[in-house]
Amino acid sequence: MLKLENLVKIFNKDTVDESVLFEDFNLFVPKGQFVSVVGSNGSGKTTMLNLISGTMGIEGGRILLDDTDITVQKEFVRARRIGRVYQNPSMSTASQMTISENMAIAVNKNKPFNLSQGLKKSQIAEFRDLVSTLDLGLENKMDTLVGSLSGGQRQALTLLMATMTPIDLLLLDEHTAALDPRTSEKIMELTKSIVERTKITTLMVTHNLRFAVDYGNRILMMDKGKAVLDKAGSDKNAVKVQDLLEIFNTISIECGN
Amino acid sequence: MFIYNTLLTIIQQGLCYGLVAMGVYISYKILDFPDLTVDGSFPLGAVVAITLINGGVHFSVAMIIAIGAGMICGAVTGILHVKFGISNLLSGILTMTALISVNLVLSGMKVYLPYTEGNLFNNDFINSFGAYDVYGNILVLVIICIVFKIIIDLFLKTKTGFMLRAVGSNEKMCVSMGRDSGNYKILGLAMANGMVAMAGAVYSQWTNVYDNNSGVGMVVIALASVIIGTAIFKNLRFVKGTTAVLVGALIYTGALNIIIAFGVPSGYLKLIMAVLFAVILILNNSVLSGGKKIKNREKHHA
Ligand SMILES: Nc1ncnc2c1ncn2[C@@H]1O[C@H](COP(=O)(O)OP(=O)(O)OP(=O)(O)O)[C@@H](O)[C@H]1O
Ligand SMILES: [Mg+2]
Repeated sequence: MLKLENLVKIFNKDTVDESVLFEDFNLFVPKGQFVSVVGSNGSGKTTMLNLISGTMGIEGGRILLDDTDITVQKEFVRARRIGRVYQNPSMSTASQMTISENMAIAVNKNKPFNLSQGLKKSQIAEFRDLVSTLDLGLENKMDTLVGSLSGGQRQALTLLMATMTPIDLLLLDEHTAALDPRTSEKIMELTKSIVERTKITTLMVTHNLRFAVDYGNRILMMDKGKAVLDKAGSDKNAVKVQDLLEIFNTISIECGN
Repeated sequence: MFIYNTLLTIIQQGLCYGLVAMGVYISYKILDFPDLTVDGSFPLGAVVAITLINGGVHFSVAMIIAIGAGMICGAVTGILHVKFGISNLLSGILTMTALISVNLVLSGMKVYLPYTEGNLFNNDFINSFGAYDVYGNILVLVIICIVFKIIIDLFLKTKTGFMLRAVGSNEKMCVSMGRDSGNYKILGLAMANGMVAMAGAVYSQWTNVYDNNSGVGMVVIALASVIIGTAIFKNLRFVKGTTAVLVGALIYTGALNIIIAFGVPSGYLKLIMAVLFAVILILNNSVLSGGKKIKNREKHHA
């Protein structure tokens, strides 16, 4: 369960560049819900994820994750319970380390990083099997430095790594944006199967309206730091891509474009 | 004979600098932290060692304490950077500057101190090869280099080592694993400077004298060694970074000594060091460009 209460986010507070993004933002996501988040560029989707994961502080309000108030927790402390795939593919993998080594770190999340062996031979086969579910040919590149993979390949790997250990919340920020159409379809299916199997509460930001409509059991559309559409369950199932496009158009007409 | 003697000097000096380079390899290459503490922690290791050894402590114990002293310096630089948000370069400069006084205080305000007791290169074992035997010295240095190379290699394969490498490559990775990346930086800097201080202790015992100025330019020597070594072996991934920087140190020391051997007055040494390093950096950026570039590209994205 994730609860955002009266969030206030102000950038460059008390300077001439001050801009208010969230004035009084509220969101309640019950345990196991899979929320698709859409909205135009700059509507505050990434910032919302940043506030939840603690990458940015807030100027007011509270954030609760399963009854724990995480508002003042440091980013690395929250990360113990939160998995995240960033909009930027290079964010949560170590480029100077191999695929196997990256996965060895990921699988050890929330366990001690002590002086025992970092990567055991026996793990490599296990990781290879896992990576082969991506169907990106990465299983033959286990000893390749992650820095030399394509953005899409890194993004897919990051999704795997984020979900290798049990977490309470999964934050996906346009995690298929860098992928080709066939691969992004694949990764969406994989996302769905991971979420259904593990029942992690998930927030998925996407610009692909069809994905937003087809996947998840709730849809949230954001504009200028506000939720302009919020439908769950059977109401969500009734939402069509066409409806979303119409709202997008109304918004931009209101803005005078 | 002259050439042969020069070669022997290069090997010994190069191995001493190789120890420094292995420390700087941890801070610069693994952690991506340009650490200037080195110029201070090198003579610190030396002064701690000579004070203890001349005071009757066995050289092995003295060297372990020297390592500890170096680790504290590295940790101080790390804490200044991580906990107080001072930039990486400035944090190193602060510690290094403070160490100038610390080293003078420890040496009793003396700029030079001779060893009065037996040390690493002057003991029963070494002397059984003949007093001050150069081959004995080389043997001791090779053993020390290999032992520390293996320790670092093994460490980098542990879970802690993996996380240290991850922090250097991408701090976010460490954070997303629920760890405080700052603590790993402090640990890495402590290890790096522990190595450097040990190198200082070894170097001063090899020269049989403590020189308060011996640390000046040590960052340049170490960075040059690291960059030469990693550039040469860049396409040979089975060659360990530690091996590469040891070779780099031997090459850089060799180049320096050869230039000196042509009769350049020793006052020009630091100038030559800097020019040679600049040439290496320029070559590395144009001809040999590699590994580092990927990192830079990432920095802009983040
Ligand atoms: N660090 C920052 N400093 C100042 N303003 C910021 C900062 N981060 C975000 N903003 C502003 O907040 C607004 C929302 O940005 P955000 O990145 O959350 O948008 P988004 O919905 O993720 O857009 P996109 O679809 O392009 O990824 C933008 O107007 C942006 O300029
Ligand atoms: Mg965004």
